[in-house]
Amino acid sequence: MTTADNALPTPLLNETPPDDAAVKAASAGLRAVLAEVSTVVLGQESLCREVVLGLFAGGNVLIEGAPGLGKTLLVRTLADVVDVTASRIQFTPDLMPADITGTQVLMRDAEGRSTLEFRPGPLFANLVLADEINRATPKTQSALLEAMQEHSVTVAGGRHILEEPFCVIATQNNIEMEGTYPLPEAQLDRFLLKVIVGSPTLEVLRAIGVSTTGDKTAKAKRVMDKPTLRSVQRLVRQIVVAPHVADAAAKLTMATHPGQPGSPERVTRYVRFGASPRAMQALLLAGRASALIAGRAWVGIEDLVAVAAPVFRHRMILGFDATLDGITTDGLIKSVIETVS
Amino acid sequence: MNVTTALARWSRASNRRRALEVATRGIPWLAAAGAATWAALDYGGTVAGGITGGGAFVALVVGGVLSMRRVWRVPASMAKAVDHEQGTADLLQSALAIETRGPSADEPLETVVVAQARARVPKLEANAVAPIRLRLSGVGAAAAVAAAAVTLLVAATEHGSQQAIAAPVAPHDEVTIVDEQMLKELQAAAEAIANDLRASPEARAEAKKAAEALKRAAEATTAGSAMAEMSKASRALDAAARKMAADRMPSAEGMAAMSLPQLAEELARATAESDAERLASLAREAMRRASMSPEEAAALGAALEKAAAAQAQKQKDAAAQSGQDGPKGENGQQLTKEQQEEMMRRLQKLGAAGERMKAGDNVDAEQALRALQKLMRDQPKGGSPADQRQQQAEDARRRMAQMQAGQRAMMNGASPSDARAQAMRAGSMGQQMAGQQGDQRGQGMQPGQGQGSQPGNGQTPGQGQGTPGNGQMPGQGQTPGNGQMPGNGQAGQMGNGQTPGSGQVQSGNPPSQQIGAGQPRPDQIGVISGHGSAGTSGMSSHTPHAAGTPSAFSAEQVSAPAAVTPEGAVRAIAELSAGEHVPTGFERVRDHYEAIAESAIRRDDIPLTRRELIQRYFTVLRNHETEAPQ
Repeated sequence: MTTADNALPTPLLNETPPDDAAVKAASAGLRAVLAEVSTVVLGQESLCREVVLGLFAGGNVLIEGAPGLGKTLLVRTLADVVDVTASRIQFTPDLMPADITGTQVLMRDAEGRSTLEFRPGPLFANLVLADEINRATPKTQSALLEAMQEHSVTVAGGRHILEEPFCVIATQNNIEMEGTYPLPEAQLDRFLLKVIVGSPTLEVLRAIGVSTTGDKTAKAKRVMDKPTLRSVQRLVRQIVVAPHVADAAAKLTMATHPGQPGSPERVTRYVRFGASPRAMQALLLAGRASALIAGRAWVGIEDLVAVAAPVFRHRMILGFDATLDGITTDGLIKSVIETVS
Repeated sequence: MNVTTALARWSRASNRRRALEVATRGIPWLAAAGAATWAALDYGGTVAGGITGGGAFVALVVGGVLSMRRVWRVPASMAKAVDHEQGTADLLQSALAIETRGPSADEPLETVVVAQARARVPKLEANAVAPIRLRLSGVGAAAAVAAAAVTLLVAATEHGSQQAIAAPVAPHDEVTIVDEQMLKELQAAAEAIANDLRASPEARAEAKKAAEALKRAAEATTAGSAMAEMSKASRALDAAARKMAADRMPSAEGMAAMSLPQLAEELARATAESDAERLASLAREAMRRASMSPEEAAALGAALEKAAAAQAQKQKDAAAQSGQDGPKGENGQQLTKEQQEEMMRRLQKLGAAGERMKAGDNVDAEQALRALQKLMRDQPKGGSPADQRQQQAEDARRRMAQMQAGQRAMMNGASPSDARAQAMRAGSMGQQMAGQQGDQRGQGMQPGQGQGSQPGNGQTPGQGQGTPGNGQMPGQGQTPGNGQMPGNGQAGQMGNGQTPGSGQVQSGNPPSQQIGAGQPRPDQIGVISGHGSAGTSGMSSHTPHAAGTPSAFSAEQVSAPAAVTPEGAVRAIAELSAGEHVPTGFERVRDHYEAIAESAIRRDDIPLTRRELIQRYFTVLRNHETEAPQ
């Protein structure tokens, strides 16, 4: 395994308590990963930042966008940059749970004895790309639940631990809904972030066209190895959260619930169910990662505001009135932030 | 440098600067409060000044406290403000929290945060506390201008007041009585009442008090003492007038204690004096006695005949004694020949009433007494001696009030001539008012005239073509009324007026008309004839108390062709109007529609994403339905 010289901060590998230098080194490493991914995935800085943020926060990321916007490219590039094992699962309606978790096969040894041996599925990788996850049946989707939350897979009564770091990055197409199975709320809640991929601008589109259709295609360099990635993930959880920041996170989460004190009138009118306590955990975790990217050892309220939309987006269940009135979750989250801040 | 210490120092500095700013902004308001207090002291006295000054002080203190609360800084809020203004991303707030509780061993990065904050403090210090900004707001400037304006106004007014105080005041107490001639006339009038032996002792005593007070007023040396005596005289005259008014009407106890000859004699005297009100009271008592037994009626009738004859003889003797001057009335007034003949006719009618009573015909006797009262009431008012005495007392009261008004005006600085003119104006106005009241009283005393099939209810008698009034005084109509006195009707039947009906009402004088169409219930009070208390406005006698309720309402009926098979809301309205509507259970309707929608989802070419929308629609309906009672 090779590592990039400029992105492997040695303080991170030490077992000593982290200090200011470790924070700075981790921040530099994160920015290097971001910069490297952005050289391949053009014009999607926000998308790249949130996916990297999800990866280093140790969560799963759901990417929603139209086909051809670079979702799969992003995941593949990220796997290259951080030097982790990656697998890709194309979800289809006939995909079965065993196809992703793995199955036991009958093996015959040299002496002719038959034994059942577990053959791991594509879930056994550090970075799993679940492409078009909403095309699989709910049964198959549910097979991901344990892996996403517990980082383990149970097959035929045997529990198999997934190797860390483990991150599921799922994509779904929001315009081709024919023959799809929308993800259940329980599964949606297990995604740390839901990222919306927007269309590129004219300049970005031109650059994409030129750079990807020539003789030479951009290739991302590996700037971080797996142990460093694990160190940074641990450091993220050590970023300081002051009481007033925790209070703000709790208030933001509470304000997404209809009828709660401090929730905007629009939330009461349009939201059926607000974000869960897991959402507040996700908010703080993503906020810590955001602070680390910024090179800070503490979380500010601005970090919470920056990650509030991808954290709450898939956790707020809107009512029928919102559908009729064309109200989006992002608009409601904006109201929540304005009200609380 | 310790973050907590630095923040505390910055907070104190900020609070000092903000306090200076608030105090500066309060200066115009302080000036306005001072000016307002000065003005209140100058115009309203100490109490008003104290209230204004106290209120202004409280308002200033409260305003200052509220302003300071908005900008008051403690270390936590100072950290928040500095973080916000200098873009340190909550560094100071986090460091303050960590320093306050001490770094945790489990959180190694807390030390890093505190160290970074302490390193940033010297750089932040320069701009941590906002500089002093002494700015005058628009409202404050307006307050300053208002304070200046009020100060100038008060100063100018004080200057004028001092000039006014310095001007000499002309004495105006040289004359003590505004109109000595009127005072003498009033004294004479009071003495006349006091010496009138026909007045009650109480009335005469009050009149005597008034005369003595007026005498003292004439001898007073100052206008003030004269005014005080006039007030006493006025009160005594009022009391005398009230006593005389009360004396006119015999009390029920007094009448009950009279023997039959005394009652007859009183009736004869009231007839001779043409005192209709007194005659009415005595006649009620006489009829009550006559209705007790035939013997009592016969005795009373005989006494009445005798008393009438004796009174007539007395009048004749008086006429003979007076010689060529002719007879005089009870008050010594010279009677004309016509008046003398009229008095004799009244006494004859009284004798005739006694004769009928003696014969046992009480109804005829009662009608004769009513006719006698009517005859007396039709005479011009003020003709009776009692009326004249009453009028004399009322005149004295009115002139006394006029005199007091003039005296008061003179004491307030008017010249004696002006005061007299003012008293004259007040007197003329009082006379006018008294005249109006007199007219109204006369109108009220007049019996009402009306047409109605229900009896009236009034203190004065009703007179109608239908059923007469039901009042304290007898009614007059085609059928008698049901009152304290019996009605005097042409049909001679006692009516109780309980028969409902409709009729046209004319009542009171000035006449008015009230159309009362309808069918009153039998227990309703009937149409009023001559309703109204004596002396009050004639308008009150116009009020019909039973205009009645219309028996039927007429309305235009519109018919429109109905739809052959109305549906939906139209059908519901049609069924409701016919009283046949049975509400359809919403649940059944929803289930029906949901089944149709589900089948359409499967059958028709509806996109999958829209199918979910339709299903959610019915899910929403189901939720609402469970909340609402069916």
